[in-house]
Amino acid sequence: MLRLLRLRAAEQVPLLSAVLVVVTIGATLLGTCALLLTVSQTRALTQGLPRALPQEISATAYVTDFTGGQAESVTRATQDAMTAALAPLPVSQIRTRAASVMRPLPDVSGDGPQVAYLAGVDDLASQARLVQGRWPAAGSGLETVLLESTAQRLGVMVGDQVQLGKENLLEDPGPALTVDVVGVAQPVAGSGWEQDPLQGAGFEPGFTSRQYHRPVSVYGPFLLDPAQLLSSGAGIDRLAVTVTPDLSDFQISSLFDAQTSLVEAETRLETALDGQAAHQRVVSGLPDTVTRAQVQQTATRSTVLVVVVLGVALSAAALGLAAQLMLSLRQSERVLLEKLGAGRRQLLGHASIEALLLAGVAGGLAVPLSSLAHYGLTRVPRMSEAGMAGPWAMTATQVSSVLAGALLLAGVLIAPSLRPWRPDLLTRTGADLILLVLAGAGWWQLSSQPDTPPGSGGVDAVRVLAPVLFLVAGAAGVTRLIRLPLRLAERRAAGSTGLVWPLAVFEASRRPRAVAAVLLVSLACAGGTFALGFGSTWERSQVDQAAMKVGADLRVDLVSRLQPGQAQMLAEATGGSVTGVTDREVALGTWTGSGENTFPRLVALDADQAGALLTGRAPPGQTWDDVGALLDPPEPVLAAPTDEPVTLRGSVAASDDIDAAVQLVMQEGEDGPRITCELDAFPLDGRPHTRPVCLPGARVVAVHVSLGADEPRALDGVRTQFVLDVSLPVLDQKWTLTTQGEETGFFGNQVKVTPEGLQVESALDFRIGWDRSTSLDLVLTPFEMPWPIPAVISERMAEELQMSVDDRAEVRVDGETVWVEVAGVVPAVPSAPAQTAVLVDADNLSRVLLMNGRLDPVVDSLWVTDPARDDVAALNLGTVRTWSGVSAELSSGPLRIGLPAGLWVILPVAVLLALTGTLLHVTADVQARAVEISRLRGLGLTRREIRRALLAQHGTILSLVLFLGALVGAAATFAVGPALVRSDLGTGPVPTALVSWPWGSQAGLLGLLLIGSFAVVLFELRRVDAAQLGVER
Amino acid sequence: MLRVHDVSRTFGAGEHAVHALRDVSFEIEPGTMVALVGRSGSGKTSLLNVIGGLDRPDRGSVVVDGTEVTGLSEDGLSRLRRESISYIFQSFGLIPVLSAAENVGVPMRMNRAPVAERERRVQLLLELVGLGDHAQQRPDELSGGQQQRVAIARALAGKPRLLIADEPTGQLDADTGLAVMALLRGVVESEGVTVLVSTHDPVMMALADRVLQISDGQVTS
Repeated sequence: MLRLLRLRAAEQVPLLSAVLVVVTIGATLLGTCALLLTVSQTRALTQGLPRALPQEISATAYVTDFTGGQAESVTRATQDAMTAALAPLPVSQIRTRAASVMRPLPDVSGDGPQVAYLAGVDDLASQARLVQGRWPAAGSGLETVLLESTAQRLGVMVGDQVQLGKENLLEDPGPALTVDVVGVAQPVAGSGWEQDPLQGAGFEPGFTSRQYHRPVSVYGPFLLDPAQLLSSGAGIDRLAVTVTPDLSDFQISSLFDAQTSLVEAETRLETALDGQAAHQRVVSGLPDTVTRAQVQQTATRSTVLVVVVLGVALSAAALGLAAQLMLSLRQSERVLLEKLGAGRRQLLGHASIEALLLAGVAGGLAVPLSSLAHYGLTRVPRMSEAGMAGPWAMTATQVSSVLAGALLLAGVLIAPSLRPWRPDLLTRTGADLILLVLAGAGWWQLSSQPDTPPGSGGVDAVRVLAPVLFLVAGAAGVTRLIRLPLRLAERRAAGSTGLVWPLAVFEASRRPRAVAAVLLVSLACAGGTFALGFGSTWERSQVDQAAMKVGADLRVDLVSRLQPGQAQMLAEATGGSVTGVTDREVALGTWTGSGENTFPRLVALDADQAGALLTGRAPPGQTWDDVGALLDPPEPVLAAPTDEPVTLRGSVAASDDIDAAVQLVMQEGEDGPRITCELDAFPLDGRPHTRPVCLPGARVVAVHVSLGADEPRALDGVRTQFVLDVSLPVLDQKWTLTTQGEETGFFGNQVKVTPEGLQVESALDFRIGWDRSTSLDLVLTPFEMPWPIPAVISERMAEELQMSVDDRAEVRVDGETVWVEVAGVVPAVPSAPAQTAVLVDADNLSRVLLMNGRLDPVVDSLWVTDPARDDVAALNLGTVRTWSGVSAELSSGPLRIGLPAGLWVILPVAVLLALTGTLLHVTADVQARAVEISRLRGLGLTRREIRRALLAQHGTILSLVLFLGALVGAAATFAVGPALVRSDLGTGPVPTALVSWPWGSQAGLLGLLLIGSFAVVLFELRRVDAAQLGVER
Repeated sequence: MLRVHDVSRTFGAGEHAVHALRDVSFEIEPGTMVALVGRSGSGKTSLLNVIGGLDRPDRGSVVVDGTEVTGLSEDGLSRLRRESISYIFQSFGLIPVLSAAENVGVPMRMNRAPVAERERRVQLLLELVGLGDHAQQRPDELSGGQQQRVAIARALAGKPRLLIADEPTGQLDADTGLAVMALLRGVVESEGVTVLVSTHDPVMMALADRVLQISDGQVTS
């Protein structure tokens, strides 16, 4: 038997070589995909997680309220518990930040209690910039460094000593302390100051502390060496221990163990602390980060599996064609063997042994070839830049996939031995129609999938099978569809006078053996077209998603309150236009979202700049300028830049014992962010008092005046005349005076604009309480209170809250209520994709808050338009994100790049199999028609005419099949492509994916297939010669 | 009409050389039917191929209707076959995907005959061979005899001067073969075509005006 196989193989080398090539290609594809699904996915995690932001992988324990005597043991226990929580991952960094309870400052006088706190910060030098002196040394008494703002407030210099009183605690109060000031520093933004009680501001009046039952003025922190603080006996108000895992080289199993361990970390910490602290809480972004990574890997896995199934289908189609040709080529041999007594089982045995040998050889070739393909693939620039280039890989999974695939594919060769296939098997049995129905069902299932992330991280069969079914059904449909144009061509050919073209058309139209080749070539073309179309659609969606996520070309999410000059600094560093934006979680009345971590978001920006600023895809039929117009931005405040110091003069008729604290709300540039400039208080004694402004060149857009007195009770309930002059370069427009709170009131709006500035004359009702915290607050503004402010809301918000245009909602911002009225609904609000979100004009929001006495800038983020440079991390303003950066991470990050890589794999496979199929088909056709060709020569057709006829015949079929295949690929791209795109969270993308059709690449692929196929045909037609006349002999 | 002079053709070289034709010479008058008789491998088909310009002799000359065949280019040979020579093959040589009428129309399509003229002549020829009702049938829907009759009709469609038939009854049963032979004889009579037919069939030999014996590549009578 083996001798027969050997002899036959020697006779049929070209055909068996083609079969071997097809099986090897299929098995290599499987091996490559196996490596993408194992080695590359593991590498994606090891490369992707270290790229995460520190807060996304670290774990922080917050422990509050423990005594000085317990400080060291609590800190040590917390550090140990957190290190254990990340086990078995090694810990690369432990950072401790502790803040003491408030202590009185006996030497500092002022309104109300004056208090301070100590803080111990690890690696202080990286979190603050020394302005003067030195850092505190360990073990040399209580040395401290003060923030510059604190030192200025306290009038303290390097070398001074500061007395801190005994803690104001009922139980176990820490003793009074004396600290030596050895340095003055400025906080570095973005280095963890958000964990500081004052967020690095250095001073805050009206601070609410647990130890005091009324607002206090707080100074601090007094920065000490952490060990000094913990051993000082000072009670600790809050301790934060942040552990960061070392992800430079880790095992995936360790990562999952740590993920599980973190779930129990808080309970273990509570046990470890054994009641020493009042509260403890563990927060870590690591579990969510790992889950998110797994979700992204699931999306990649689905696409690679699509490639696997499509590749197997293509290989099987090619082998089906080869099997058919082998069968016809061996028909006479089969008849002879049967006549010689060979039974069906024996013939099947022949076929099986041959198939096994082919599978063995193909498998042996495909293992190293798939390793090579994977090696090369991971060195494609985009993969390599994502860190996916690893060492040469050969795994058991890969080898078993290759062998299983080779056996499976070789099995296709045996099938016709069991029952010969008819050329029209697909159409005759109606299998193509059944496939069409299945594809429709798959499309319907895919389209109606919920917009939620996958549950268990498993692969969704619908997402894998739907596109393949669509393509296979389309390719099967081509075998029917192609008859139509051929019939039309046949009709025309029948009425023509020549022979070459009609002969080609008749052959193309009527020869049934072309069905298998049509199926293969159309499926290959459709698969390649789909891979390109879907790849482009996916890439575009990543860009769109990035634009919607970031909201602008570049944004810096501030980690601390906006400071004067920061916007200008960012503008100079980037060369772009900077806008302050409010972007925060809010409550809508009492509604805080429909689930965990689903707080509604408020985005407030300069609506006049919406078109230039916003990068997300605008709602259908609208531009962002149109949306901005719905927000009805008010006319900008007309104010002149203020360079000179401000002169203040005021009086209250009923008392000469009242002073005024004035805050100027200043705006950087004509439309820059607003910040508050606090002026030193001055007595209302009728004399002028000059105060410098904190931001020369900025424009004053509101003035806040807080009236207070040392003996306020004397004025309680008194109505008196109040006069205030503020020298400002204001322009001639109407200013309004308002008061805050129900405890005070005024009569008459007596604000005059004079050449010198503002002049206020009003009768006031004094209902001042017993200290300045309930002082009488007045606000002067050059605008009226906008109410309600127009807002555009996201579709999700409209759905969840059943809201529509003209409905009103109450938004809680910084404790203030802002009424908004819905002016429009958009699919998503930029920077808050897929969230319940409200978009308003920043000026409108700012005006409402200002008139409610909220002077703090509500700027959470600085957005930059058209930046020339984006390397602004060194400014330490906060987290920097760029549209292009996020887009690159989404499309080319280690956790994402596997998806396009999978699509790249299918392209060469499709092209190779299409060309191999063409070669098989044309070879078989020329062989089968050798006699017919010789007869045509005998009838007088020249060799050139015969070649033209054959070229026209195959060229017509191939062109039509490739064209129809491309149409099927395009239809699949448009029908299922957008539904296959998922966000990095596993949900449907926001904005929804739109098909991006890469005309150039598609034309290139079609051209390559056409040229390649024609080249194959021409190569085969060279063999058509007059010598074939001897075939019959 | 046909003059073959001193034609030799050898396939291969050295020890394995096969001398298919050796110094063959003969002449055939126009409007006659000549039977070429010989055993398998005697050189019949080689001689017909050389006469029809499908193969070139190593030596000698072939003149068909005044044209020296051996000196013609590929295109010249093709033109000769279109205009002067027609073939009838043992295995009929019909194009499977074409109907009987389309097969008969092939030579006229080669000469770009007007459609109406082609259709009229195709119908006429099919009537002539008795297959007027089978015009739209494909070869695989016709019997062997019917296929050969279509092949004869096709051979006549180009109005050839010389009709070469290579064992036209080889795949037919005796009755069908006889009918085909009678048809060929009738064509000689009615169309005035010269027919050179290779055959083993004694009946065919009886119908021929002249019989040429070929043996070991040499014409002996």
